[in-house]
Amino acid sequence: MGPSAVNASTTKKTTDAHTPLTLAAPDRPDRSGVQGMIYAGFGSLPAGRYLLLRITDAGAARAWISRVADQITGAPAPGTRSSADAAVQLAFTATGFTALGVRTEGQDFSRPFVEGMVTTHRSRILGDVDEDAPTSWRWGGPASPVDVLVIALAADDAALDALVEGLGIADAGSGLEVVHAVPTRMLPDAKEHFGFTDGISQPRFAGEEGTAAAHDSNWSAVAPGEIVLGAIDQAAQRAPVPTVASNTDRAGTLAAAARGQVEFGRDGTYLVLRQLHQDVAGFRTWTLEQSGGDAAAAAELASKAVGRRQDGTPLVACDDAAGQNDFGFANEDPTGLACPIGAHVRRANPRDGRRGLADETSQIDPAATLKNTKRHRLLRRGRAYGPPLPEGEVVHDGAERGLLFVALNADIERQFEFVQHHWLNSATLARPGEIDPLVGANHDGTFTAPGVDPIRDRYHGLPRFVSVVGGAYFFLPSLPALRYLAALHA
Amino acid sequence: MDHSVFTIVAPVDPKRHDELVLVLGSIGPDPAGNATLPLAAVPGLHFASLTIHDDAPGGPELIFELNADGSVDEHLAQLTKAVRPGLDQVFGCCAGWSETGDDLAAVAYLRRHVIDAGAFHVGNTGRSVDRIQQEARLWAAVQGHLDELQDRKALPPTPAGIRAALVDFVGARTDLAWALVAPPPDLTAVEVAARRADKVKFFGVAVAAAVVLLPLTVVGAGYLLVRECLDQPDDHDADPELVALLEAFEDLDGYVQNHLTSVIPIKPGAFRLNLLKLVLRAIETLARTDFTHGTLGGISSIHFAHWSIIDEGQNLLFVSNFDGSWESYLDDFIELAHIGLTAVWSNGVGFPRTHFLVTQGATHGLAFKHWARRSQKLTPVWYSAYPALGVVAIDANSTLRRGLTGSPRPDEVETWARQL
Repeated sequence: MGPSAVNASTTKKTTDAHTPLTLAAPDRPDRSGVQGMIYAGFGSLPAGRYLLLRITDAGAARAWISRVADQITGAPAPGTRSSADAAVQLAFTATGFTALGVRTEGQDFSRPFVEGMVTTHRSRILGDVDEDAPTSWRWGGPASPVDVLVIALAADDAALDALVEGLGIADAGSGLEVVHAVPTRMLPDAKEHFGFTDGISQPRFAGEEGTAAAHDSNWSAVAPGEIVLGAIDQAAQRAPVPTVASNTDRAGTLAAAARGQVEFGRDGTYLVLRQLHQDVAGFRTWTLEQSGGDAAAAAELASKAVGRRQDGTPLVACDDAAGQNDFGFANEDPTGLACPIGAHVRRANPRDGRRGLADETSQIDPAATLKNTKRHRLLRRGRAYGPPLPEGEVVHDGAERGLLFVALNADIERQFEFVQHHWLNSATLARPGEIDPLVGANHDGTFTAPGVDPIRDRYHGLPRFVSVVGGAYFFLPSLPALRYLAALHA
Repeated sequence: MDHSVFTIVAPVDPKRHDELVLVLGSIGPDPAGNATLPLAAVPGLHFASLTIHDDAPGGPELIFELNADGSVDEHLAQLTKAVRPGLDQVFGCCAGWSETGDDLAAVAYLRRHVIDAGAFHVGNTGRSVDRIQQEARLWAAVQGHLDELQDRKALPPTPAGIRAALVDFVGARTDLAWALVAPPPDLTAVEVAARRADKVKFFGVAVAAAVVLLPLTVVGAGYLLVRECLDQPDDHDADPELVALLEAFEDLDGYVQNHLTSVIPIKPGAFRLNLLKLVLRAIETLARTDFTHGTLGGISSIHFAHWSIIDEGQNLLFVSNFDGSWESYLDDFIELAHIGLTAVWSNGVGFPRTHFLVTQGATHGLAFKHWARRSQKLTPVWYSAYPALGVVAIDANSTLRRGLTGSPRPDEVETWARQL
């Protein structure tokens, strides 16, 4: 069993999901109560720092939360982009909540969150084994557990330094200790280090103003409960909302639940953080080698592995003006002739085209498939870290670079772990034995894609390009829940 | 070729219960090749599992799940011949087994304890273990040859040319030449016709009976609605320690498949038991006719699964051998096949609340997952004859082979070549 159960009792009610929803149940998030990153990527704030903290003194840490609570950035108004000149977000692991004195009563946090990312079974399904095992992580592994995540974003480095300084994390008496800090940056054109525009396809909350362009909504609209606890999800249910005893709510900020409890988790979300090191030189070298040194062919192979071109253009015909997200797979490309079945974006988001058997009669209905896919979407808020490797360079320069992958979801098992395990790491989804060519833990693997021949091309000697060097499951509480934390007594 | 899908359920001798636990524990880590019961030595065996069902009403039982080629009788004879000493060790811990008896007596004992599947599903209809393993080797050899042709820039430019080159390659390999003989159809025309007739008969009789006995049908439906309101769903979370224990046996290295064993008490009374039998019969009929090609209600990840009623109608057993994770399997059920699933399992105690037998129920996704975990039994021995092959891959391998035989049209050859 993983670290510290937040709530020691083992069996309790799994919410009121069995009873019909009452009219009082809110079907969407309280936008004024959520932390801003649920609604905003803060693209106008390119300088960032992710601080991973350990709580050394719970009382002092609560006082610190109380001091910074007003600086935690909320969501921009409907239909607008965030205009904040700085943003701070605050999330906690299960050990962090335990240290602060959070004791759930009634509904506990979900099991993956309580157990943490680094149990033996989770390591196996996430692919965090061998060199990627948590024992060798820089943070989040057994040797360096973390309690708190602070995300600080600003317009430039100087403003960021001032922002972090002002938070007083390093001050004596903060009750906090920095385990690890990762400076992040935004690469030009929203690219990640391999050179591809990232974050194009995102779930958007159905029916909320300004969150989904019309052309995109078929693919991206999801019920907000897929991401935010307390709201209605795609199955017209609410994910379990962790509750605490109402007499612990000294600030009186939380909504009432049943039986003398209040909803601590309402308008919060589970935040998955993984620090992913990217071997950019290795990626370029392999694609070039497989293409006989021809740079154009190497770029073509890289696009097939990703499932998009570098500028984000999908490999499947796409109708919308922006040309990026209005496409499916079921009708346009059922057999993967344009976009390989095993390409990264097709694995991570198969849209309407999850494959059944080759036989047409057993094809799963595209509309049902898309509905099904929407039960597994992740709201991604990752940022790159480290300097880009200069264009055309194929030798590793020794610099640390990669992606701080952030995914927000209401159910870690059904969403993040499912996508990671059952789609990216699946050896049955595409060609037998093949896993994701871009992010999978490949060792001398293969990748199959259509080429100019009447049969497939098969690429060999596929190494691992992405390795995990840190990670943890966090919970991103609502703003009222942060005030609850600040007011808690030991 | 037909498969037999069944379990042997035998009473455990209470005095030897702990010994049986140890024996199963010695088999579990290497079910294919262990010294006691090397299941890979059993011809025609696709998947098997051994579980001790401790809370059976008459005392602990051993549940031996078998999914095999041929008839039950043929398979029991082969099983006994192949691993008799192991059976002696395992069933020696069960009441009534004679270690000194001859093989015929052993087969007779096993036969007496066979529980036929109430309803079963096979993902790769008609394919024997040998054929599945042979076709996987064919696939690997063909892929290697195609790689080599491409590397040497010697690949023929047309699909027909590629096919001819492969036929030559396979024909020249004595270990693969069998592939140029067309495989038998998954189902013969006679089998298909018989199954269809059976389906027409079953649903014809069912509808006719429902109409003729209309008053009874109405009373039955009304009674069901009342019961559904009164039945108490058990909405407790599964014990995290149980789940962790189960997970330790899941997603093993080298396996693309997983297994689960579930035993649930059937709601008391003749009404639910008979309703369950009717539903299983309906699913069995559909599984033999509409779902013979890989998918069960849209799920294409199940190799072998079956439901059976055990313990004199008191418990419902479900065993499944499926591709992917437990989580994905349950999600498939919830999202794609919840009607059939709810129709069966809603007759089990504590199932999430249903309406008119088939609605709601499993759509309560998280509650259903907790219920499913609570009903699960730890399975100390699970064997797969081809742990790295998914249902889809097995089918693709057969497609490759079929394309080497006969005289397909040019467009068929082109499609086939693309799938290589």
